Amino acid sequence: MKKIASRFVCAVLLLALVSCATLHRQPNANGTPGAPPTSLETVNYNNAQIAIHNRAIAKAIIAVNQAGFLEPAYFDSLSAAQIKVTRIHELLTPLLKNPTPADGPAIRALLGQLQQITSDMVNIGNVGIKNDQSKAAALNDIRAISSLGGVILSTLVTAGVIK
Amino acid sequence: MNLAAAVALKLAALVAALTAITVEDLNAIKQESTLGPDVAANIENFQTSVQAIDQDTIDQLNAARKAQGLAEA
Repeated sequence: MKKIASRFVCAVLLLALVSCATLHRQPNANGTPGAPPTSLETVNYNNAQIAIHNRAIAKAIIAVNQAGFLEPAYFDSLSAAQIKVTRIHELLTPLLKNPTPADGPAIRALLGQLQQITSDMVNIGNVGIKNDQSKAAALNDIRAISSLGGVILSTLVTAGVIK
Repeated sequence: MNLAAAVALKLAALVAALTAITVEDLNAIKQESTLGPDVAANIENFQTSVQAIDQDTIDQLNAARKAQGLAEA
């Protein structure tokens, strides 16, 4: 059990590291620091983080289901909701490649849908996941998707890309 | 198998899965967080990575649903 506990702690620490990675540019050839990331690079980086957190949630809910900590009915609703999130994200991603003000309403609408479904997923996960540590990890990743969506929107608005 | 052994086995499966997730994702995020000098190429790389990750997510979820006798979503 000690070995299992230490692996779990490693997993949690690595997750924290994943969440803390910062966006930066390689130094120039002469060793001077590279230019800071542009707002569009930042937006696309945060969008990539959504995909990474979303896949982590998928693996976690499959694992907790296989370990018997998530009943089939909850797995059904949670996995279906997550597939919806992923399909919405597939629609959002190309809009972030080179967004214009005309894309603003669609981007806002898709991010709003993401927030609604992730909120539903938090409610399902809260009730359905029976292991407290697994629940905390999964819910943190689900909330991260919602937070990153908010960051993407505010970055685009602040940069004047959309209103 | 006694109860403690059964619980230990389940926990081992769970932790192994979580550890695999985080190592893989740590590598992905490290790679994604270091930008090259070409802004357009960086954005294209993000777009390509996200499409692949999203497809992988859907494939994994649908495979797990199928294994449980659930319809693809």
